Amino acid sequence: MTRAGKNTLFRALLIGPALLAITCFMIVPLGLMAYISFRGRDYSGGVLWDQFSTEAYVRLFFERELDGTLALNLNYMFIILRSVWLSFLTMVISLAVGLPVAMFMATRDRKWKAVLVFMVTLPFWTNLLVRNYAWILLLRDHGTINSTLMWLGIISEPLPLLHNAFAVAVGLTYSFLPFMVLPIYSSLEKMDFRLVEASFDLYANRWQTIRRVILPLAFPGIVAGCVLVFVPALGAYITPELLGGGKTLMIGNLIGFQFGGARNWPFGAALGLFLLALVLISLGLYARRYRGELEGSQ
Amino acid sequence: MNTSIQSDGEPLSAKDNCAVAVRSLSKVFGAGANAFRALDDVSVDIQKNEFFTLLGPSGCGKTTLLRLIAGFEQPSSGAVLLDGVDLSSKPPYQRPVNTVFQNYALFPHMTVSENISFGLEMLGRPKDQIKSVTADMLRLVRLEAMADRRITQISGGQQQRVALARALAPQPKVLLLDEPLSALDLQLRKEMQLELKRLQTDTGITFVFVTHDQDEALTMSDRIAVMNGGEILQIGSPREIYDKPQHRFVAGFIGEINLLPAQTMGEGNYSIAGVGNLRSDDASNLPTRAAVTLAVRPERIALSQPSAGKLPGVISNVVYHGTDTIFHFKLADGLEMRARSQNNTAESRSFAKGDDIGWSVDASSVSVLADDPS
Repeated sequence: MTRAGKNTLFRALLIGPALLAITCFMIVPLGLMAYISFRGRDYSGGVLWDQFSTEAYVRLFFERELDGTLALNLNYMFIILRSVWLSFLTMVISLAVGLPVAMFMATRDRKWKAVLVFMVTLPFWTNLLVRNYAWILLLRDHGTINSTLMWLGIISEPLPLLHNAFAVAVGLTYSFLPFMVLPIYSSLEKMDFRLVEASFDLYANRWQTIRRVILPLAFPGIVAGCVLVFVPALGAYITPELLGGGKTLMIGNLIGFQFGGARNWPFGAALGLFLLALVLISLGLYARRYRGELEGSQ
Repeated sequence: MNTSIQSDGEPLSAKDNCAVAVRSLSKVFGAGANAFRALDDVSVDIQKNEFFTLLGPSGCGKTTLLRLIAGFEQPSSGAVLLDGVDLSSKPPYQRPVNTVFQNYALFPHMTVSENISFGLEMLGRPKDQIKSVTADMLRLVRLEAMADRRITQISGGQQQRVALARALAPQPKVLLLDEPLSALDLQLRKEMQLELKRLQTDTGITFVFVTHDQDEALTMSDRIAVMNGGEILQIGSPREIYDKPQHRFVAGFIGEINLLPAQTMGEGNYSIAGVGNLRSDDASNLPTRAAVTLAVRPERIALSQPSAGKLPGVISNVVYHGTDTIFHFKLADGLEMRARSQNNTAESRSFAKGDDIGWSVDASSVSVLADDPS
């Protein structure tokens, strides 16, 4: 065997496990999903493995009448639109809350920083399901918030806080806020705060300093945080299930339902791929829009 | 908290030619047992168009004083006046002073010209003025070709010049420089010393320069304030500071110096126990037989063959430096002295180890330092 051949073999052996893992855990499942999405479905809910069909994709936008004609049905699109909207809202609220928190954390002493980072990650120590149940206790009609407000005499009737879009947005923000705080914190923490002094020295007031110096330098962290919040929020399952009370469905619940109760795997798979495409397209647009800033702040 | 002198009923005032007036300024960091008095009741008048240097070892309070003038720190007591106006209540962005930071603190997300124009933009100057001033500044620091480079794409020396241009662009009344040359190598530092002096003369802006490098201070400054332990020990021209140090610390910190314990004998005579007498022109009001320290620069000592009227010594070491030779010699009381002799001619007078010599110093070259209680 030649020397070059040996090298190639050696490299193949080194990279092999990683390739195997990616193949087994990413390419095969995705391929399987894509395959199923193009299969037919029999009346009992089984997948017709030998029948090619685009029925699942047609179903995303149309409803088949009894006589076989197609009628436009945007109900699924509404759910997807609501998912995008709620995820976007979650991202914006997380950014609005997370940025000042990250800024506060990054400007503390080294000792305090460690404590604060620990506190931000503290919710991860308990199960997401449990934490969402906790929000039910807070938000329900006779929950902590409503009973406190009624006791204070601010309201006489309980506010409808649970089982609506508001509850889902609150729950999602709560669940994903640390994913916003931590990347921004890490980019601010690396920042040289003498730059802030330099900015003050050059006649920039606080607001101008934040806008012209701190935000541009925190930008990579902000982008990372937005992606880390938006993407998992879009596919959220537990939070809309519990806090939306089945009325505020998101795309994750819809997909779950297709694989479960509805027994329509091809449609579930098509929804999953649609969600994937949605995420990839929005990330692509995002990267394109902010490429310059991201490279500039390295 | 911020007790300016005004609150004590004494009016704050400053002379017309004074750019920065520092009045009884103190700064204490921390509290209780951990409190550290970085600046202790410092007062100084920095004149207009002056190259004023704060010189001292690290931790002497020079950077704290600079940061108090810039407004990055709030004084524990005292006040800073700029052109007679009390700056105490003004945040840094309302003070017409700019700083060149030790590590430059250039904005990494901006180009060279964006860095330079930042201050002008924040001041809300018209666009065409920003453009022309930025171009002027680029020319002043000879970086026209680098205008659109990112900060990470230029060398340390160039970054240094960008930092200068950025701070000069808004035409501040006072430019504060915090050890701006310390990150440069020796060659570049020498060049920048001349460059800085040229910029100061060209722009006519008051420079307040902080350094721990005595060489930098002596070559660039109009006046130097030597600081130690949060206090200003002596203010004067480089020549005064070097030739007439008034404190043991000042004498020792700047250049080489021989310190001789002595006693006052009256009428400018000082007795060095077991060695002999020296004369000094320094007027001293000390009583007779008071303990003092005489300070003599090595290059002011004249060595000769032992003779009457000269003080005796024995050469203990000879170190050749090219331009000059340093003779170490011992006095009768064991004290070691150094004399620096320029090698003016090829056959410059020389002594060898063990030679008995006589030495003398002109009365004008002997400084009398009161023995600090500290």
